Amino acid sequence: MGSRLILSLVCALVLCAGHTALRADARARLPLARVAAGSFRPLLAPSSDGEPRAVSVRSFWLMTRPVRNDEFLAFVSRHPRYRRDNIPRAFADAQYLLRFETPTRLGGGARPLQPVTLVSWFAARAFCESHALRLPSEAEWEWAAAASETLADARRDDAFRRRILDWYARPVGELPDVPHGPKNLYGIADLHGVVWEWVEDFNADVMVADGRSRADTAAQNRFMCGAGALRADDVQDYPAFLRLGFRSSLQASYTTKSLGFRCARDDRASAQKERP
Amino acid sequence: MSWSSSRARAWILAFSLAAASAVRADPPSAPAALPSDSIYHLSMALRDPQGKLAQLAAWRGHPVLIAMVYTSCKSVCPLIVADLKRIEAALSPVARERTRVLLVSLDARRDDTGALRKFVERHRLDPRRWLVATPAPGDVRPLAALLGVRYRALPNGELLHTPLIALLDGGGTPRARLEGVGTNASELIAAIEGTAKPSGVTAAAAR
Repeated sequence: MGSRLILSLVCALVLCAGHTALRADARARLPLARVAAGSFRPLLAPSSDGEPRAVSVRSFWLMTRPVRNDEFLAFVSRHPRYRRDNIPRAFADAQYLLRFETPTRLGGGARPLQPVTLVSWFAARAFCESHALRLPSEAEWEWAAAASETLADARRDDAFRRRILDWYARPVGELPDVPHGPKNLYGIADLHGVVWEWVEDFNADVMVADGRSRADTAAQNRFMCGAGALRADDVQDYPAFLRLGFRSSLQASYTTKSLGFRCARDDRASAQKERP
Repeated sequence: MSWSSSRARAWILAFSLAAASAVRADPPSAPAALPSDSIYHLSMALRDPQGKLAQLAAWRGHPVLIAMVYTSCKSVCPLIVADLKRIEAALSPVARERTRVLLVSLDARRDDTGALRKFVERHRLDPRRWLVATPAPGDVRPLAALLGVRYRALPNGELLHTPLIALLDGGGTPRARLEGVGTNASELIAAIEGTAKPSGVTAAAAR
């Protein structure tokens, strides 16, 4: 009887431990804010007939700041296969998490509250999944990032645009602790001004004329299904153009010192309909 | 007595289930012997034209030509298939016998088994060496990301995508790639001939 009891107890403890390990990530709450639904024309508007079309974004939740070093360290401690000494090279390049002093300690090179960088798309995605979240789509990210402190779509606001361009022009120095900059309309900070960020569909940006191929138009058309269907809508939106160029240069295993991420999730009220 | 042993069994079952779900919570799994840069680290299931499940690594040990297409694509995808057949025809008999072709759908929502079967018939693909299969919707982008295929859905249901044929060696490591359609494939063909040499030492020797 006693041994049976102990057996059950051990099993129960193991079960509990297993559960805590899985739930612990979700309990370390990441700060999220709700972004209201909207419709806007992204820089490259998807189209089937040559007419750029507006993209609708359902309401969703987005982290109010980028993911930090302390949070990412906790993630790799709980999911050792994402440590830099374990991750397959297919999922992250050789620089992955190299700011950390060791695979399991931040050390002097990475302050706990700085945004984590040198993370690949696969690792960023896995981090969000471990918190029952996901990466934002490009449209969601761009829509949230179009908001200034007072306007939902401030992309045509000269002062707002200039502030963003000033940041793109500055060399990357030491990253500040986050949150760092002002909060936008939704209470979300640092979409501009601190790090570039991964989005789920970073590889939806297709720059056709990359100059590597013999660039005759016929050949370019043969490089795509439905070629020529992406058309720049607003040539004035230079910040969006820079982000587009940056994203289209990325591969999923790439890591850079100025590329981080934040997580998102569906808004339950708007998640009833199937996502496209 | 029998009650308690069945209860112990229930605990063990519960524990193995918990362990299994814990494993599943972490998608990229790493079987021991895979090279670090193998795309087979992405463990994903594919639905074949008969409705059976196959693994992405189904043809581990063979040189594999892999491409992403979708069956309702009228313009580029048939050209990708034509290119693959052209490459196959140019191979030495030994290499052709070893090489496998894996076409993974970019359109997980519409490419059901019926659509896959029609595609196989339309293009007369030999099921012994060609597999056309559809992943779960959430697995499309990670595979495209690993291969370097860029794609975007258009409002009319078409998919804008970069045509790519990649050569995987027996361990799943990409060895060569062909971008565009109708591109000169001589380097890719040479790479297949190198990869397809019999014996298991090729993957190690190539590095």
